[in-house]
Amino acid sequence: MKFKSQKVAYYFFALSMLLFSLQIVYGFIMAFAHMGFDGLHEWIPFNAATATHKNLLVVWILSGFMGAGYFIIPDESDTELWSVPLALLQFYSFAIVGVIAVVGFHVGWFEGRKFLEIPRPLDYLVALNVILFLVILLMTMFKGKKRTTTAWVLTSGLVFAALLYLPGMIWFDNHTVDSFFRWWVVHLWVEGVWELIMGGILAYLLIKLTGVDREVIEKWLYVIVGLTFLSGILGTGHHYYFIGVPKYWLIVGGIFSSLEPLAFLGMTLFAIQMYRKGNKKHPNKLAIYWTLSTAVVSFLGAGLLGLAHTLPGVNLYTHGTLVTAMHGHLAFWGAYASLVLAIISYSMPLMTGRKIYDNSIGHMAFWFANIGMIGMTMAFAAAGVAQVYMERIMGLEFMKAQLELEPHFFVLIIAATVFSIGVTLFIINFLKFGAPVDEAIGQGEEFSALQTS
Amino acid sequence: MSSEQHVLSREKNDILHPPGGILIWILIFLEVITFMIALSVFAYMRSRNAAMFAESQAMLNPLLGTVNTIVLLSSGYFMAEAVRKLRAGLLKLSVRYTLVTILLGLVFIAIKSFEYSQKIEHGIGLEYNTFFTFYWLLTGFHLIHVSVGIVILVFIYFSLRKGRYDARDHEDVETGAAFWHMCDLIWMLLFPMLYLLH
Repeated sequence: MKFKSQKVAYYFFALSMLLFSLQIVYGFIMAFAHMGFDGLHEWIPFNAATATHKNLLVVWILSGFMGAGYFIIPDESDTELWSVPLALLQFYSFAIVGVIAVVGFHVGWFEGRKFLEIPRPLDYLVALNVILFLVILLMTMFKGKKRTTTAWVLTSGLVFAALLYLPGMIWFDNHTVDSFFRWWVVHLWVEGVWELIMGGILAYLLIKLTGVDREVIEKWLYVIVGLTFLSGILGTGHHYYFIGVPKYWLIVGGIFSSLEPLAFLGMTLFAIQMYRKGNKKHPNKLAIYWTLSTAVVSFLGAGLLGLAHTLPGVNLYTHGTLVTAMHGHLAFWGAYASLVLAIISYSMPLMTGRKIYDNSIGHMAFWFANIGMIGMTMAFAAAGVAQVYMERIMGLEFMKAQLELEPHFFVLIIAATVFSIGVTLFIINFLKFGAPVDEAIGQGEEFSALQTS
Repeated sequence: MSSEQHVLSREKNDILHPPGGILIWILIFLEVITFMIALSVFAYMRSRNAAMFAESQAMLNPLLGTVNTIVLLSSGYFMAEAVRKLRAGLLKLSVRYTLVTILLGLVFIAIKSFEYSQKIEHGIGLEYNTFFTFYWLLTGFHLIHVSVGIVILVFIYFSLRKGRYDARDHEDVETGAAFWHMCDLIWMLLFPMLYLLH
């Protein structure tokens, strides 16, 4: 760690881990409900559980991104954060809004729009909060002597993400129009501007971990990220199938979204190539594992499994079934969850000075979580295909098909248990680091690999 | 690799160092793939609705399409000449040919706009039928590329006039030319598919 103020990142990472654990708890509640064990129904009905599960995901990943921003931007700009008290204010207000939103879901205070359930008054608070966050980052960048491409890409990703939150706050009477703009928030985040954030964080990690020249990494990674970004904008069309918008979206969405895997493949090959090209001496093996797994699993989950049901002819059958859950879980895990875990794994040893970066708990966490998630994806896939066949081809009623699907959720719960063991081990490692200390400032050398020329 | 060797390998134009730089070629590759996918879907849809597609195709104006093809191909020729003249050190000619390219590009846009306005007058929009959905999407995306190409060429034109490029250092001009030729190439795929082939 170079600067004292980078320690702010720790709060966001800790919140991230807490919300991630809660998200998993709600996932289990739903999996058991799907199996017929819905004992908590009185207190946590399925709609509240699913809203909480999805919103917690978004919030913990955003919290991770914010932590990454507070850690990376001072380092890249070579200066202390513009204002630590304001950053802490931003942290606490962010956490409080999050808690109110989650509690609200349980007492029926929500908007009922999928993925954007947070009620309108809280939306304004979120917007204010994010503006504060961006002001702190931008002021830090302008104060600093250096302005690297990586810092710019990361920050512009965060700025665009904030801007794209706004279309979700506009009121429309027409359900189709509302859906049309709702996807700007959800889709243009995950397949658009979050790619920039992902590119920024991945570039930072690859520069630090492989020792390959900044120029090489920045140039190519951003070309690749740019391609994903560009195909993702019109690829949004694949959310417009059969929701009441003009038919040409079937063509636009089908073609552009099927190009997205190409860019993800490019990112995977590039990250692996950089790792092979770089020296292998960086001691933080866990950060390297998570960085490479981000590149690889995002291709599998977001790229390939997305392609699996992105064509209109396929999506006609799979729209809104568990096939979507199959893709959603591995895509979010590979692209964004693993990315946050990678930056946490990289930054925690630097912030605390503790060399917990190659221990067996950490490696077990990595393998359990990844294998568990792949198992979950396969359970969802099997359940999804069965659901499509029963509901859409045999014409079975929704609830009757759900009854038939119960055994699949047993498999899902087993895989999810393996996954949760992995995540628990990761959090144990996280707790072992303890809080960041000032003594860790300037001790970065022993943690970094030799630069290759 | 010494800097001299580096220059040599660049001049050899090996696979990693094509004229205009490799990035533009990756872009061209992806663009062509995208249009090819769209055209394959178009061909598939046509095979299922042959009569409707033939009927709709008869509503297009092949004369305007042919004139536009000639305009765009000639503009490609002039751009290639602009690069060749620049390589030969004939800066003034290069500037002039670039200007001709830009003007021909504008003629293409003008003719295409006239064609579009006729279609709109007859109430043939994006959702008229599947054929015209493809017609508007394919030619529309192509037109966007031509417009972007013109912006790039205008930028190159003014840089050329300021003397920013010479016989040795002119990669940007090659990059812009490669982009412009891509517009040609894609039109050469679209034109026969949409206007001619039954």
